[in-house]
Amino acid sequence: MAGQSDAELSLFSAEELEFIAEDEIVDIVPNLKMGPLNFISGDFGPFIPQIVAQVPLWLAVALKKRGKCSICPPQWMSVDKLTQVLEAERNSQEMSEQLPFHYVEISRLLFDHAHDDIPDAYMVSIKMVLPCRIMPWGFFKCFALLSSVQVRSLIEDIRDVRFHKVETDLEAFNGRTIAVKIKNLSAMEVNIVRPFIGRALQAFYKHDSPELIPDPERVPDRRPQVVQNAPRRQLRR
Amino acid sequence: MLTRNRIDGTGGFLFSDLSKHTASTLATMIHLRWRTELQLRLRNFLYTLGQSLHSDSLSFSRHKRRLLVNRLCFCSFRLRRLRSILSPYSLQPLLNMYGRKACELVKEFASVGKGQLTQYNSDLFEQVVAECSQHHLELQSLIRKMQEEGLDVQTARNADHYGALIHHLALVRNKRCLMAYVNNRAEIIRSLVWKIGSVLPKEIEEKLSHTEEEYFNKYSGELKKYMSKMELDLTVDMVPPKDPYIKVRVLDDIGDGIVLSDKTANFARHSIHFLKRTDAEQFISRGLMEELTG
Amino acid sequence: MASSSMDGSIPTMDEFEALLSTTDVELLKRAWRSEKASPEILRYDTDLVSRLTEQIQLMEETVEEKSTSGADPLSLSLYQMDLDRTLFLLRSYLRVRIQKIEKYMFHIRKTDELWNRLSKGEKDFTSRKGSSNLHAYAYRYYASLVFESNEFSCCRCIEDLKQHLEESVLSKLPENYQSVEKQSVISEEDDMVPEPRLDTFVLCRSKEYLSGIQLEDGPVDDRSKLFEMEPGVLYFICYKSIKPLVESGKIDLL
Repeated sequence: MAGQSDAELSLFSAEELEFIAEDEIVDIVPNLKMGPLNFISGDFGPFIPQIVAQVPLWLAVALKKRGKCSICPPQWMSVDKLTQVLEAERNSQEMSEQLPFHYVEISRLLFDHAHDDIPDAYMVSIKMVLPCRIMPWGFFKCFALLSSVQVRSLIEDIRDVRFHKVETDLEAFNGRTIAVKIKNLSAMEVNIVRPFIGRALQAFYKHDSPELIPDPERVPDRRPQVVQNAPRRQLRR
Repeated sequence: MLTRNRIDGTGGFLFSDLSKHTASTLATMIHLRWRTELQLRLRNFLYTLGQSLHSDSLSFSRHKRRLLVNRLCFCSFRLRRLRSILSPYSLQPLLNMYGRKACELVKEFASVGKGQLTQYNSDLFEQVVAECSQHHLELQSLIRKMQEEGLDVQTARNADHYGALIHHLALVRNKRCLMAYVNNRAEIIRSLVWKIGSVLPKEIEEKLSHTEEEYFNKYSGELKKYMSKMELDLTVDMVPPKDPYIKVRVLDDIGDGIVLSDKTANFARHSIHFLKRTDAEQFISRGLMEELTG
Repeated sequence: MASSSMDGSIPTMDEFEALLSTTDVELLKRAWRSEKASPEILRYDTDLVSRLTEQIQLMEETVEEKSTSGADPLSLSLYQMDLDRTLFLLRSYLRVRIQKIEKYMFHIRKTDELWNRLSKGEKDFTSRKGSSNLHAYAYRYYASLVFESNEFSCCRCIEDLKQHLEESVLSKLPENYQSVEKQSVISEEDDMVPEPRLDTFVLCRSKEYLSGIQLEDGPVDDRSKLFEMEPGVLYFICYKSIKPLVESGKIDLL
């Protein structure tokens, strides 16, 4: 069907993941006065200038695009916090639990639409940050804004470290694996590893299942059955 | 079951050991059938494994990939047994065998990209159908022969019995391939209705058989009825919405007089418009407009 | 992987999720995700869809009204966006279902449990009882009396496909091999009908603490083991094992 993501490859397209993440709630500081919005998806507002309001990300971005608010970056997006997270990710094989499920999509949306709202306060610790690899994530529209570049590359680093961990975890699978518990894996990470894990587990499952194991004692029973059937029914014509 | 992995030759039975001998000499080979089944299963497993490893979603280093393959292969001791049993058997099927044409037909379907259609190969299709009739004739004559010899067809296990069985199995396999061919094409035809609407472009129409064209028309009629009952056009909004308005550039002369949900406009070539996404999508999918971003 | 629980620092997302979970849009989003992730067709929530259709219509009228009365274009475009998002969700949900129904229509038709999960519209679209055309017409006539629906008449997706397969392939084969459901007359089961693979591994999350899940179809050695699920933690698991829990809504697929 047109436009549907290929179910076998990845269940949700990048756009669909973003769509889901756009329902996450963020704080905004509106600069206009507007009555409450009674949406199908919930009631938001009223909006009073300089009074923080809580809205879904899509609404925040729409208002931001129209110049009607600034978005408060979530606390976890500060350089301090991200540096801590990166540190924690590097020091432990466990996934840090400090990032929200949609951290990749949220940060990307904020970088794309609200890069000027990621304030300097978020770059207090610029000197102590580890040598960052600035990964090409599209061309940055905002080179001047060091802080957001930095937050962005921190998020990239965290993503890399986490992926490495996922890979290592995958190697621990074996034929006995029937269910895999994954804690704190984010939506995007899940979506990427899903096709692989799904197929691998299915292959294990299939080749471990008893009725598929060709058991030499069982096969002779089965064969005559086929054999008997074919000619017998042919005769009925 | 007509799903794709089945048509790759991994379903039902495999005839790798059955070259085109006379049916009677094949009879002895039937005892090898369970071996063939093992072989099939291993192939199937390796295939799945290969697919998961080749999925580009995770970029494993070569070392890691090998590690993983080894682990997967040796995790189950049953698999190891399989490997030792199968090692003398080649995984390559022999060249001359029943069901080969049908297999070609299916392969031809699979040779183009996903969602693409090849020319309906009525020639090869009819050849496979003819092969089916031939199998049926031989099957009947073998059974007649057994009856003439006074054998109980239900219990007799002589060469003729196994010969008949081979013909039956070959026929069934051919049937599966033919059905897979038509059914998978039907699936693409359905997706075409979603993508291009109810009018078939000439280039696609030429690739379809007559019944396929009919099917296209019927399906698009059914879909329309369903959507009108739901009072919802399901063919728009294929990707999640962003802003209700998008900027588009007209690529071809569409002409004027097109009424959109909120305005009329003259869509001259190269003109740029700010349209509702739902209005623009149908033109974009037909290649008449492009979305401008940034 | 990590086993420590959420600390107090960032509970907001979860809290809001719980807060928002009451809206129908949120419910539809869940249904949509589960439907996308599940290998077989899930129950169609008639009430939910009709509630949402009503809300959508209402919102469409409101937007219409506002646009003619020259209301604030900003809030108008925001309402439109909200409407578009809901519409997308509904359309995508219905599309995913149609896609699945089409793929397994012969299987769904002959399995009452699955057939009853379809909406009335979907049933009409797929249409039932096509073993012979006469039979089908009789059934439809009867059904049209029962449902008093004049639209019911000629929705016959299955018959279309069946007819197509019969004309293209089956009519050309020897007579014992002409069934669309069976390979040949000697097959005891319907071995030509595509069925969803219930041993697919799916990703799921439980809302509450669940214990004693029987992994009945797991590998031999683990068969007797009971499985526990902590709330909010993701698991990759064989769909077959948690099928009843998905159906009862205790577990969401994602």
